[in-house]
Amino acid sequence: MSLILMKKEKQPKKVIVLSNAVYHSYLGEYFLGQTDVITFGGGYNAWGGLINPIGSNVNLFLNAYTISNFSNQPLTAEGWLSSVLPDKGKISAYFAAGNQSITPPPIPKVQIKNASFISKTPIGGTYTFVRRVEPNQTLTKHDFQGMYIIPPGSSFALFFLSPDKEQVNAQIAFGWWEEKE
Amino acid sequence: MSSKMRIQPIEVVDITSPTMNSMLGRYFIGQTGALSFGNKYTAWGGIVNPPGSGVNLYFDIFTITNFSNQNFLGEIWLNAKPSSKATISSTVTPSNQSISPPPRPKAVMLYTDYSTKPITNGTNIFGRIIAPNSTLVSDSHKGSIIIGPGSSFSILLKSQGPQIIIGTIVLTWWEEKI
Repeated sequence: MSLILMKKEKQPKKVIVLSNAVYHSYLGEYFLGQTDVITFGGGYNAWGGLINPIGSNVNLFLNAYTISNFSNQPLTAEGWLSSVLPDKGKISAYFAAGNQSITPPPIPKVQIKNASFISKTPIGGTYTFVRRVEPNQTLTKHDFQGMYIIPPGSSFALFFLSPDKEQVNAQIAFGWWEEKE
Repeated sequence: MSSKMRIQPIEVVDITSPTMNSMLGRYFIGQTGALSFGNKYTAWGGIVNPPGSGVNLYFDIFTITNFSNQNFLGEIWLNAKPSSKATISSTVTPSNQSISPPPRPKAVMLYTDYSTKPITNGTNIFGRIIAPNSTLVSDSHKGSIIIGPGSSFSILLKSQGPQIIIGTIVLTWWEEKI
């Protein structure tokens, strides 16, 4: 194939397009991680989320979340932005930097937290979206590319509503990057 | 120059990182053998970047195939330590088949099955449920997961049930000199 006889502007340069998430991983600012197994049911709710602590000096840019439903019945997950979550929650230890070639590996400022068997619901913030998750499936939502931006003192959380009687086990995973404010 | 000329956009050819690395013969696809697990046994497959390899691995896509009638869990791990009994996979190939001799990866693909030992090192960063008789294909990570020398990317297959399950893992990645 020859382009020689074409006008100069028809001989385009080749460029490599990096997604923003990949670029931030090169910089050691991209992280992946998951909650513990979250349990709810019998009138008790639960939640899991990314919490950007006050004074972190970074904004959190969400790229992906997944919800695994380990039960034989569907579950409902409500997406809450910047709400005050009932229960302080447990900090998850299951996280790592996407870039494992940097020594020592970068540590995120943002925390993954979850709480099981709680009776209350989130206060304030915005109930932004809802997802229904089929039994024994992992729902995946990728490539937000930082559409959700969470400042210090704020959160992105998935709140699980109790089904009637049965107990449900679920687990949430996140991919995100952090940029200085 | 007229104002119309000044706002003229530039035409470019958009190449993704996986495509570019395939063109350069640095993109590889590796498959494990058929892995048996379930009834308290686990199976494991992954790619290991050997210490001193001189390259970083840029992880792209994983697939997990479930040949059984029962769903199971695939746990994705960074830096898990492979079992000393792990088999080296022979089904690893460059995606670019036009280069002679074919480029060989620095990374090694390993797998084990019928295992009772838990994973000791590393971090389980996320998990996926794999539906019966299906192949789960991950989204392209486009190199956002980077494995340095001495590190690994792997998947642990588990099932609560008593039934023995057969599954297969495929991983794709490219390698760049450090």
